[in-house]
Amino acid sequence: MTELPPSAVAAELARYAALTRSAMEEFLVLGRPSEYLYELIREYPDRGGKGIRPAVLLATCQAYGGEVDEGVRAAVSLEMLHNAFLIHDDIEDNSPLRRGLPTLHDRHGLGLALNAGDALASLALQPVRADSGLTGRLRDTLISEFSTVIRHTTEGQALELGWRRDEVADLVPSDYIELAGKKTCWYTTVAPLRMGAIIGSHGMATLGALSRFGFYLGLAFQTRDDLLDVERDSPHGKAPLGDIREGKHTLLLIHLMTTVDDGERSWLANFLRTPSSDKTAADCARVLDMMEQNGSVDFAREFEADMAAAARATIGPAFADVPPSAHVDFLRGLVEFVVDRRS
Amino acid sequence: MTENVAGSGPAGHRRAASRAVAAADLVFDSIMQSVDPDHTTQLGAPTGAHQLRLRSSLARSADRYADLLQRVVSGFADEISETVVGAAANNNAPTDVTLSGRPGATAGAFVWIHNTQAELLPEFRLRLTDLTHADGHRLNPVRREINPAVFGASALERRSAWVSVTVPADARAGIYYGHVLAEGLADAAVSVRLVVT
Repeated sequence: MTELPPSAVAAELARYAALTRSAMEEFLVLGRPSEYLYELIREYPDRGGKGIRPAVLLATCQAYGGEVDEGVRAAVSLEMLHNAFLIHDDIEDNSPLRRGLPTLHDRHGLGLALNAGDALASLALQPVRADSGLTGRLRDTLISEFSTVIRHTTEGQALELGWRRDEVADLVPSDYIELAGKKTCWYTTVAPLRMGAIIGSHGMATLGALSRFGFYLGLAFQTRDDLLDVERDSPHGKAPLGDIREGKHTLLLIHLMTTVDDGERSWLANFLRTPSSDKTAADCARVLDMMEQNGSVDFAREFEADMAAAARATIGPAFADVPPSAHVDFLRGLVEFVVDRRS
Repeated sequence: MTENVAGSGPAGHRRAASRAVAAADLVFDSIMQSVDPDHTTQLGAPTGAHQLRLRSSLARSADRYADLLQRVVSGFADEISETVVGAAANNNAPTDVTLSGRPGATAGAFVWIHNTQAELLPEFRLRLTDLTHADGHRLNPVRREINPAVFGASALERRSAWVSVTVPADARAGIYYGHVLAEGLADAAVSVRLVVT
């Protein structure tokens, strides 16, 4: 068993991301109306990204005996779906920045961005459907996996938006696990692991332990994302304290709501009720101070560490049915990379 | 994991960690329950690397053969379909129609007229010829009728009409032969057999 250093993991991620982006080109053809649609749907993929999803899928596929060529179209589909989710997510959260640049709706207007997200989501399954390298049974299985991904992700997003609309304040950390589990874990780590194993093993892999490992890894990933938002000068390509401004139900916010006194809770509820554009930088900074003083940041760091430890402990059983390989080593290294990342 | 307070000290953190993992497990198990078990491909307990490789290899071969078979069968079915449809489309020979009745009764049946031309025929008239016995005796029906007698048909379209004759009361028993003809459609003659019992 070898653990790759973070730099090697980063290099592998970049390699898989480039490979997937290159394969995606076939499906992001420019058509008419180019300036109102097809150029828009290329914008987020062209901005790059960490490439965690395709990397997890392709590494798992190879760990199970498959070839990169067999998995790359599923990776393209997943990445296109991810970018479609991001377009709609940015609209729903009214986010100003994505990957260091203005969000699609800020740049092109709400209607065109929404439409581009629709188009990208509907185009996303085309690579899998058109994959002549997959047999019919595998294609059906993968399409079914994609359906599950879409269902869980939209359910998670519905929870987030609904809680925000209804100003739900009595949430506890296990609510956060449900939210992050559906909204992030499934399509970021669980589904790529499952799809990679399905393709590599030709549908013969057992997926339970693999999914559990992915769930812990995904929770660690999402908690790190939450923490990056509050770690000052973090180069993560989003607006500083953006999650606080948008009133997102991060683990830190949920923890804070359970620990503040009545007076602070009332102020916090009023802050969350205020539209993002009307929230001042000083008020956002005050929330961050409250999080630090009430132990919410430390709580999230401990939770992240717990999930990373659980992922480390379960990666062995997850890959018990395949021989040791550089691909499993990469996935093991990815656990450390996820929690150490600064963006 | 405590719902709102982390443990203090290493032992406290271990307890909190186990509670955090237990809480995650609870949610995970609940989500997994909602995943359709039919498509999880969990066909059994972990099999070990060697068995998994073997099973994967067999599944790969079986799937490829299944796909190949499906393509072959599908291609074969297309060919049969084309042959049958093609034969039907090219079959200008009309279908025989048999009418049957006692003397004094009316006998009827549907006839199908096929416009074999690749163009619309806006109007053509049907008529029933005389009905003749093999011995040359000609039957003179009390009444002969085709309904509708005049209609149009699109290119390659089949249309039906009801043909009926009233057998004379003094008609001899036997089989009489004739045709339903379509004016303007030389290929569309339909053989008619009238069986007088």
